[in-house]
Amino acid sequence: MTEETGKSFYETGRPGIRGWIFSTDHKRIGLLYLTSMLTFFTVGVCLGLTMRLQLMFPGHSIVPAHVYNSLYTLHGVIMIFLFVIPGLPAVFGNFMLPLMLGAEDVAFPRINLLSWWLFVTGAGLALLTIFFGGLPDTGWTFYAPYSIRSGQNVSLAVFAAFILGFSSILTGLNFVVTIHRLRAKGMGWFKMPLFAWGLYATGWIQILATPVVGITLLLILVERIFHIGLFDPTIGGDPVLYQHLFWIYSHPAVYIMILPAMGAISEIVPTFSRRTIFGYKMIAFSSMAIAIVGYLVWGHHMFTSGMSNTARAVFSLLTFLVAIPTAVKVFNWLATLYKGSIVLQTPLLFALSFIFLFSIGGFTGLIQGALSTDIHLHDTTFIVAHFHYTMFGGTGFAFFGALHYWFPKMFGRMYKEKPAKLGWLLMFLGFNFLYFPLFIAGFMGQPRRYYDYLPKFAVPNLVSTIGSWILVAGLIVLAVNLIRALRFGEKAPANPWKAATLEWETSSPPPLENFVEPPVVTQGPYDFVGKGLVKG
Amino acid sequence: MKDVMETTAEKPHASPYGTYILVWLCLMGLTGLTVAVSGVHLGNWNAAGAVAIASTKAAVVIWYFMHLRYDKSIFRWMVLVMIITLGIILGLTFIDSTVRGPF
Repeated sequence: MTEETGKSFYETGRPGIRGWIFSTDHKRIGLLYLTSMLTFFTVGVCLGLTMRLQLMFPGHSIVPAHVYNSLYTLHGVIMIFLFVIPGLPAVFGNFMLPLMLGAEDVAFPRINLLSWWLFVTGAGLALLTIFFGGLPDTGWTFYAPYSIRSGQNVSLAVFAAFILGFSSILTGLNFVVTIHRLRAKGMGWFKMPLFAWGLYATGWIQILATPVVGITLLLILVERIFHIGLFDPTIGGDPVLYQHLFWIYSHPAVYIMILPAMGAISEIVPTFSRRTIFGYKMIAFSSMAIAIVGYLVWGHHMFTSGMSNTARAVFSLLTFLVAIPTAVKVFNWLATLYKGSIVLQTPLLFALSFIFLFSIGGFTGLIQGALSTDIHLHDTTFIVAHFHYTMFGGTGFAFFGALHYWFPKMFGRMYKEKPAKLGWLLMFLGFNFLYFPLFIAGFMGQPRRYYDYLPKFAVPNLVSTIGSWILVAGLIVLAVNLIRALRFGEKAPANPWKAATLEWETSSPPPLENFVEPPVVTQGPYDFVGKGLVKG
Repeated sequence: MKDVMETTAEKPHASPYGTYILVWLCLMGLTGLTVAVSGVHLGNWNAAGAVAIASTKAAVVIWYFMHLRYDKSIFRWMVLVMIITLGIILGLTFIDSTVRGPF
């Protein structure tokens, strides 16, 4: 189980493109997801930049209003369905989970490949709307009745989302079964790395919640084609029912996005503070608690939609409950750092910014969870800032933290620290310049999704647009540094961070079946005794 | 994985044909009941009745036709988790729709 043993998975298997797109090796599938998702992420960033350019000053500047509607719809669909939801599970879950468990692969390798194919098929169908029938203009939520009546090609877009849902379900199913069945000898449930716990909770949400949105999107199709009154009130439907069905999935989906991110943070924090994680079981249980309570809070997206007062009060109360397990994690990460031998490497910088930004996102969520304040803030840019702080400041920063943490293992190369830290700094500053002014503009009353705004919102919008350029500059620095490392980076040792989880026991990059001999687990995943120190 | 599949395949758990016919008749009867109840005006209870009958039918199908009755307890627990989830989804949705006032 060292670098000397055998060839890496890059050097084995079928050569050429077919060796990738028909491979059932979990590592190759993880990398397929990584490249496809980063491509979509780049497109999503470009769309976001264009929107911010339009909003830089009041009035018309670079795109007409109807194009702006399609821009924010496509930005949302791409970022949510093609980047943040598959995000950490599809890339790092696929690549790392079997390695962390000491397994050769996931439980169903062929289903794993199928899920990637469904992912690219769904993505391809979504992009076909560019050429057939016009880009959807409904927002990523496809709210009825507008999604029923829109003349744009909403049908193809919702069908694409339906296909993408299957990809997600299959990935979740694979991870749940893998965790139940394929743990290494000696790895009890409480010797599992916390990233695996995060994926386990996520897997259950993917299995249980995703079918609801699948059926709901099909009902939109049925209503558009056959004019059956399901959601459109003019033909006897109930638009609030659509919102229920949509958020029954889409709120738990927020936890599909964030739980694996929290799992990755739980790996990075102890490794770079050289301390056993504080409150292992509490962090593990809080993942499950978030997954469970996350099912009960969807109605908080609908406080101003005409839902009954009883339901509003119930959902508001339940919303506050979900903050408790989240806070448990934050306190435990901070307690892990306390008196640790902290080494401020790039992954930890991303992890610390995750904690900071996600906390802001979480607290501002509570402001909206209160019924009275939500009436004022609903559908303002305050909401836009809130969910970008949770989804980008949270999941996005965790994604880049995880990428820098596992990069040596995935590619067998080390990246340069200084440019990575510069990229992180630009990202962190740019992110806050981009989104914090939107809290202020939203609080002042600027509506979200509007193409134009009153002159009194000019300053926060100008600052926000400048922030978007700083953020993109940071992303470019990170990308150049990592791409450069792929070719010119120093060769990575098996365990550059002196971490204690199993994936670091094998060579970087790992061989085809991960371990030369099946590993036997005798110590906890955060037991750093005898591992040595990380170079600062 | 292989071991589990082998042991499942070897298990003699098929019910006698009589049981399947009984279950089928039961499902047909419940379908008739659904149609009959839909003709009676019970307000919100119409939906509750339809959901209750449909749930009973699904339970019978899962229990006999899908062989849950003969499976390991972990599978029963997993199905139970899904039923509870569905119950929560329906319950919280109905909290809204049953007491929603005029806008």
